[in-house]
Amino acid sequence: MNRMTARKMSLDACHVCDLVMEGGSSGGGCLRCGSRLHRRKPDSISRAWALLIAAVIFYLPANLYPIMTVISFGKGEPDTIISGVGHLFDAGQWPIAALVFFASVLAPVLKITILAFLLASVQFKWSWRPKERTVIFRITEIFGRWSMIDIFMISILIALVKLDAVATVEAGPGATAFAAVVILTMFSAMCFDPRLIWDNAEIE
Amino acid sequence: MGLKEEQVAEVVIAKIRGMSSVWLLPIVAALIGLWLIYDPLSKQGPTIPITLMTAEGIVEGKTKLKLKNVEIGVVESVAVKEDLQGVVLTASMSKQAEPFLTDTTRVWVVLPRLSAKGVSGLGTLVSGAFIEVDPGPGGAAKRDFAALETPPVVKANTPGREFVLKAKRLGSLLNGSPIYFRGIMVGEVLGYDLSEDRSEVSIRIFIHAPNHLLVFDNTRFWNASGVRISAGADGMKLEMESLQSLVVGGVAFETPQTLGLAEPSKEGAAFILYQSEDEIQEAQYTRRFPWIMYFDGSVRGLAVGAPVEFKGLKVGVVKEVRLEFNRETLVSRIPVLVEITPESITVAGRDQMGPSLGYDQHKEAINSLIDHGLRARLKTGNLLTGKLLVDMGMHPGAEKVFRGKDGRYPEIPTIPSSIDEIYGNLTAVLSKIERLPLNELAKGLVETVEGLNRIVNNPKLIHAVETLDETMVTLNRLVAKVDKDMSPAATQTLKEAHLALKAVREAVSSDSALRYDAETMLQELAAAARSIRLLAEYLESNPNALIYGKGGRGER
Repeated sequence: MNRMTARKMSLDACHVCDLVMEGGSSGGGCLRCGSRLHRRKPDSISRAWALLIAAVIFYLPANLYPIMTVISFGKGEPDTIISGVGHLFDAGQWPIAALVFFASVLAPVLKITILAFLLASVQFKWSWRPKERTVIFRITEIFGRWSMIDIFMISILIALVKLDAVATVEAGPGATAFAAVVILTMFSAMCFDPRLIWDNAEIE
Repeated sequence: MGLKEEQVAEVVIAKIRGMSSVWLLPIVAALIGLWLIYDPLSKQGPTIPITLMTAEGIVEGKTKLKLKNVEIGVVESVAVKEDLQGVVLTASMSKQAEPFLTDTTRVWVVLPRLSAKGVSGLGTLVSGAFIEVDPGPGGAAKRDFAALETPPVVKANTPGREFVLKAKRLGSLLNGSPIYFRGIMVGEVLGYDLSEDRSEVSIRIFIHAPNHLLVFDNTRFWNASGVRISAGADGMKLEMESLQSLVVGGVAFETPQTLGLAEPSKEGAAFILYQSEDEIQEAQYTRRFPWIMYFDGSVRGLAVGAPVEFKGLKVGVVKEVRLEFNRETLVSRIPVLVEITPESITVAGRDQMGPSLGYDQHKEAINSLIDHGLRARLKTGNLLTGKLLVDMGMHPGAEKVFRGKDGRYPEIPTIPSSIDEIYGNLTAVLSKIERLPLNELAKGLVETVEGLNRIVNNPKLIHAVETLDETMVTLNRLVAKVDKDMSPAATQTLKEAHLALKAVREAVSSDSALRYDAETMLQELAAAARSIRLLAEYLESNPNALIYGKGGRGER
């Protein structure tokens, strides 16, 4: 395998303005925006792991704790994500149930799993299909943010449904944890430098 | 290049040391996660089973357990008991509920309830049923509960006091029936039960604070249920405590005015529940001593509850009337069990009434009265209804007959009643006649006759009679002689006297001449007297007439 890489050509890309320049020519800063230049994202694997582990930890309360309580006529039950999906499914709204299930349950799990797999593959310097792995990473990055749909919905409902005795919506501790999961996985994905996949391939 | 590589390597090493700051994040996340796990676990109390008859209104995971409307737990699961005797709920309680789970705690399902008292638990129509937890004071920790079938009337920590009423029958009382004091509702009936020996009903009541201090040991409770109409000599009387009591019954109480009562009754004190206010008057007396009386005559009209009177004052009540038949002697008698209330009798010279008397002293007193003639008899109390009462009085002359053989109750001897008395007297007369010594009388009579006979046939008597005969003859002769000698002269004298009398009669008779002459002479004399009077009057007015004569010249 003999691919041409920026690294081989001693080229560096600015993280901020994406200007590509020859390494060392700038004297430590981007020629265009003045940002500090790194050949690879610094400490990428370690930071991504830390954020991912934190996300995994938050994933438990996010699913075990109620994310939302709808109180109507003084009567209301706190719902976790799974029970909410169950309610929607029982109510016959299975498309919405499926959507919520995908966005809120499956998406974070998949994202965490994929990120963990990618991080592990880089850490243990696997050279297996670097291109596909890069594609998976891109997809994960794009879809991961949709998990926030739950949090958006809850925050909108809380703000809108303030009808006192008739109906009130309250956020539960699960919502906070869930938001933390989504944000942490997003940061984790941001910290991950997909170029490392190719570095391993290059070594081979 | 090589130098560059070294530089890069150096930088990498330095960065590995700096990695620790990023790893703070998962540590913080782990701490938060641990706290999130620990927090509910620390609040998690025990899981308790609750036994119920049915799981009506109970929803797994939703039905709450509440204490004073504060959530302290939730029903986790509902399962039917294996023996089908109800269901078992598993409830997970919060930590704060733990001290309230004791053996004095009561739990029950709150559902909408409609009763004569009103509607309760309406809120559960919207919110669904919940399980009320009502911890009592004290008690040892307990982890399994049986829910009450009906909610208790009064919650455990309500200030007030619980008492027990003993009644012969429940009447129309229900759980929650009101307790009245002077017409104000001050308490409720908590529940009722048969006593252990099934002889009475014990009713648990609760008097709310501060009115529980109105209950003293001598307080009288009576059943104020419904309407009571009574007709008496003073007209018709209609009594009713309240409309509510008409529907759900009620109990009223009152404390008679007495001296020296300071302490309200203790929790759980027992009282008698009287059937009516009137009954209380009869039952003012706490001491009742049984006595038995045996009556031979009919007791028709003698009912249980009839008064026992002494000189017209009620001193007791008839408790039982039975017929006792002796198979061997074929004699029946009627034992009447009465209860004497010594408190109704004031002993002279003592402030306290009968209460100071024990049963033995009481028996002694009555027995000494019996020795002095205390007897009981049946008396018609009401001519209209023919109701009998037991009248006790002093009958010093009456004989003292004890007929009771069993010594279970002391006996008061009886005497027959008025009608019985008449019968009794007749019987007595007959029995007296029966008891007369007829044989002896006859014997005496015979002896007398024999004696007479002896006298009559005495020779001396015969001799005397013969002598008497001679005497009679002599006497006869004497009389004849007198008759012969004296008779002619006497006859003559009588004849002459007769004539003389006849002449006198003729002389004075109305048609006799003598009498006529006398009358004529008297008339003449009267006329003469009149003439003389006229002359005298004329002379008085005309004295000269003496000289000139009457109507003479002088006038002319």
